[in-house]
Amino acid sequence: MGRELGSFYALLVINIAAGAVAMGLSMSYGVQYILAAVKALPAIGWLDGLPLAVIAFAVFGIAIGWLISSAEVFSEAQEIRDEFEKGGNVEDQSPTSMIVKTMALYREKKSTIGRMALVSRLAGILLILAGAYSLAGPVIYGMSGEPWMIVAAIAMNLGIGALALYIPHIFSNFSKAWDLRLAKGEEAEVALRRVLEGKS
Amino acid sequence: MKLRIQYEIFWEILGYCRGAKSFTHVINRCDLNSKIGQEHVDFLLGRGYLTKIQSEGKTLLQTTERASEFLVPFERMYLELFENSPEFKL
Repeated sequence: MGRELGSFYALLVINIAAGAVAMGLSMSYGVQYILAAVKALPAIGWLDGLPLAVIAFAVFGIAIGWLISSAEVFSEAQEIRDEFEKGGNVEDQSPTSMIVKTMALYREKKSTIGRMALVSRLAGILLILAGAYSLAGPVIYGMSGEPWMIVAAIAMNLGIGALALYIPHIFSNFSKAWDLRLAKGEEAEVALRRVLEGKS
Repeated sequence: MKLRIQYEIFWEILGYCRGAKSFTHVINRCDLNSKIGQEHVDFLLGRGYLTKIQSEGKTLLQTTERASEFLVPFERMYLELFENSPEFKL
């Protein structure tokens, strides 16, 4: 049980890291596209690249939401883990206590976890598109500027994008395990009701 | 801690009251408001799983031996939820 909570904890850390990188990348792209569009405005008469800047800022907003949701769930999971590992009460350190608390956390955060998986998938698709867009320029027109920086930027986009697309798969495995337990928990509720009614 | 089902709250109250506790301690520890806490405590008193004892002029709640007829199956069932389902791993 402790190991399982540790895996969930690690998944949340990955989410926080990926959300922070997605936030940084999207902000950097947004500013870059806006500056380039404003610079080119007198020459071409319209804001070229504005849609890309809008997409980048949208990803920035999504990444902030992703980061906040991850941090909230992380904080509650950490509280359960701390109580289990160094709780002052004997009851807090029993496996049943940890199971009850983790089930309550999952019931409470089920929709947030579903949203985190969705946001992660969306951010992953947008980052992969941004990586593909960055790749298209050098492939079609050749490299301008430091090649290693261009390669690093593309690799980072594609890498974080792939990670963001993989995270929902892990969330799905997590949800499968917990949905099964909640379903079995409902069967246990029936049996416990019988105990309380004195019918067992 | 939120979204616990009724039986989980019963289990928490009974676990906490293994050592005699005041009603205020129970609702604080189990994160319940006084109305909901009173309903749960009354139910457990009615079932004979909790009893009231007097200590230094205070009324305390104490889990009874009889509560094991609920606590034992509860703990067994919850442990089985983990033992009989696939473990989540990264």
